Amino acid sequence: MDGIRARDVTKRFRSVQALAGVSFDVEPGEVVALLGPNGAGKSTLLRILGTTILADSGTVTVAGHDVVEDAAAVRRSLGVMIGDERSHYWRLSGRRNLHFFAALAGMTRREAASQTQQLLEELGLAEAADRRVGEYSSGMRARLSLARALLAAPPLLLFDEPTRTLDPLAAAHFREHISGVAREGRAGVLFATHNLHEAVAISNRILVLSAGRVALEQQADGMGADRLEAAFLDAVRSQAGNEVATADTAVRA
Amino acid sequence: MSTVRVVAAFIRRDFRIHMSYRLSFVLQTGTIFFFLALYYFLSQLVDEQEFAASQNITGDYFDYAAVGLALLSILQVGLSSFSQKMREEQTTGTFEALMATPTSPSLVVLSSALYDLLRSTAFASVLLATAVLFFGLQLDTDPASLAVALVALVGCLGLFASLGVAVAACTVIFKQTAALAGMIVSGLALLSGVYFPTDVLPEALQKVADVIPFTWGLDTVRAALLGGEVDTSRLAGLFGSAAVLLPCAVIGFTTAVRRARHTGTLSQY
Repeated sequence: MDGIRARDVTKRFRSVQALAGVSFDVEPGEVVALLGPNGAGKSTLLRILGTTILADSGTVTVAGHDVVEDAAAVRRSLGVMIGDERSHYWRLSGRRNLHFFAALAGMTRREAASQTQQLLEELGLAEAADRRVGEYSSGMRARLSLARALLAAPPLLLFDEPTRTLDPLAAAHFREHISGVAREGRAGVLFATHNLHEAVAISNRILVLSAGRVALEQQADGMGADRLEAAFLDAVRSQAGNEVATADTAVRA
Repeated sequence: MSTVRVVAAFIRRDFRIHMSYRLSFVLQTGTIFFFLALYYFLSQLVDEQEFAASQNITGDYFDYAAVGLALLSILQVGLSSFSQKMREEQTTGTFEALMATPTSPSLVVLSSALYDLLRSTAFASVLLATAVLFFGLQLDTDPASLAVALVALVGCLGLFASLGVAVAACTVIFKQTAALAGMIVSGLALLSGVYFPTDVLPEALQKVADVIPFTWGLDTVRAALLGGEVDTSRLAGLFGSAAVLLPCAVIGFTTAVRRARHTGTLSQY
């Protein structure tokens, strides 16, 4: 099965060129970290992949489906965690939230009940499953968002700064879970983050976006956070020349 | 089957959220009594015989107003609920999550107000039952009359939904549209004969009132429930309008969502 293929993607919001010709691939089963300074275009890119924003030009396919021509098929192939923790119904329980979104994903009530229970247990939410989401902590809501993304067992996952609101322990659990999902071959993952330690800890590959372009594309294997930080800073600074850097050229020894 | 599951999921969701605000439910039901009492005493000022003769019904002004109020309560919900739901989804942050599911935007918007429409229909039934039990409203309970009223109600629901979805489309683009929905409800209430017969309006406005499908629906329901003569051409016009307007409104909503995807404002409020 195909992963994600993006070619020459551009997007402009009025006077802001959010994406200026982004191309990259995410292979099935691969975990790719998307880094970049604020305003680099990470969230816009994830939303284009998730079909909630339309690109101005370029092509994007997810699991072989075009995000414009076959958006419904793309959404069936994706689990997304793009919005913030508010994106749940706070007056409903965690379980009811998952049942609702399972129905929208086309699952039967029986499938929804069994998959929901399994994910709630897997993510440590089983005891709080029948409490209102409004009573959850930020960490619990983030785990609920992850459960929602995993509901229909999609082959690809998109996360926008998934550990932003989590304490270090909750963030570590979250990363372990994402790593497990990828290790077991359950899904490929593309996640945006500002946490360089997180990026090198769980990803196979790093993409750095800067000023709407891919400024660095690098395998993450064996790359420490310090080395990534140097490469990241160099890549972002050299982006003015619109050249794609590699870790070898970007890192100062 | 998947469509039925989605619709049922929305109804269950909204029922549970609504039930979580129990006091609001009790208070809303309580207002029916006071609302009807107001019109009951107001009707004492209107000559019963003269009014019935002029309006092609057997009842008095209270009967006329009670049926109008029942239908208006459904119109208000039908018109405002679609946009209000979209607005709630925008402000609570769930709209983008909904749009990222495989369910089509048109099914999302149509399903989102279904529970409110069912609830408002139940509310209108309770209003009429209260009017019968406590204020002497005399409804024509002949099965044929009730069937005609029910058919007209279905047509009205289709019409209200089309207006509601159109306003919801504006909500996706312009965000704040509560005033628009309020203006349409007030305008229709003024021109369609909810509170008073349209023949008291100036001649020019009477002509406008005469071509508004809501007037046709209201006249048909009133005639069926209050012993008047049903004009089948108006009933057909009501269904014809709903059949044309609802698909147009759904296309408009889908177009609005596509525009919001293009401008990147789907998650904004």
